[in-house]
Amino acid sequence: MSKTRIALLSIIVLVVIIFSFMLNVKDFAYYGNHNETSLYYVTEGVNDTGAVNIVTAILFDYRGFDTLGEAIVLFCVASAISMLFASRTAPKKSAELSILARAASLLYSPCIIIFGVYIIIHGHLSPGGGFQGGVILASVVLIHLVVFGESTVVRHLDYKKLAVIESFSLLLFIGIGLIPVLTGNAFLTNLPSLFPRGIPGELFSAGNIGLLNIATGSKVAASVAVILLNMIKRVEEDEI
Amino acid sequence: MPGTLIAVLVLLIIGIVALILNTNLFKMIMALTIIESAVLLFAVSGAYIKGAGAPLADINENMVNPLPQALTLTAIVIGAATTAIALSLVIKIYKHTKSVSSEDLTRLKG
Repeated sequence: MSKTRIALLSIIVLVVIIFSFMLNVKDFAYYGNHNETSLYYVTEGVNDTGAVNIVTAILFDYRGFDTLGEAIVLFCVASAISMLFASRTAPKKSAELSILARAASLLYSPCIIIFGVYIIIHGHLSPGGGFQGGVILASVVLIHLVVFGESTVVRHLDYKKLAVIESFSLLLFIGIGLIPVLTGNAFLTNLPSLFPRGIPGELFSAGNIGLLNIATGSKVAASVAVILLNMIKRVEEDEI
Repeated sequence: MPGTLIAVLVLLIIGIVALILNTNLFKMIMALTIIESAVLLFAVSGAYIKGAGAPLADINENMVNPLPQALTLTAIVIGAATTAIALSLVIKIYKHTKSVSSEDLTRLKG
């Protein structure tokens, strides 16, 4: 059998399997209904955490340890990509876009930064949080890489400072998690420990969720910027 | 079958077909991303409850299941990370073989 025939056969088999699965998916228990866990999150989430946004409450309170692991994954990816492209250097000269694009990007960049910071610090109140806002902040670096060219950005943006920000944000996350340990609570405990509860729905509320959002946001922004700066490096001729 | 499930099915089949039939590594990564988005769409659509709104306690009394949304956020971040790793490996492969086709990856070399 030729390669295309094997491919077509396996595609047909897969389509049949997936289709039969999809036809029966409505028979799953709880499809389109609350189960016990989600009902608990929906009814008790604000009481337990003080965060109005239940998704953030789950991410940074109930599953805070999971989010720490996620931040570590990003850290590992940034390290791995830095290692893969360690022998490369940024080009000495690179093309830049027209004066119109440069002026517009300088005009827009502060707005994008303000929007990203807003998304980060309002993570417990509205849709958003550290991960989303961090990516928005990193998009400023991407816009500048496209508009001003790699060499200009690399000259003005210190790669080592970004790495320091990345590492210290992760340490900040762990440090915030360790504060409740001093008072005899578990790692990453939120409300019953040292953190003030506040009134749910206000900016200063929800205990340590806001602080964790800030730590995650700077972490994600620095990680994505490091990844971008590494991947934009030019292919040098003498690289093995 | 609700509309989102049909969308999940179409995305999944597009992704799998593209993954099997393409030899270009960039297109294979794109196909993997499409499959990933199909799975995430399935998770979020399974959490939908008729008549309920977004899980924001100050706006909606009646909220959808928030847990799959939180897990989907985790999965999106991990997916972006793996895509970044895969793309940089493709850049490295291009450096070694001067091609981005998976057919040219037959040669094992130390």
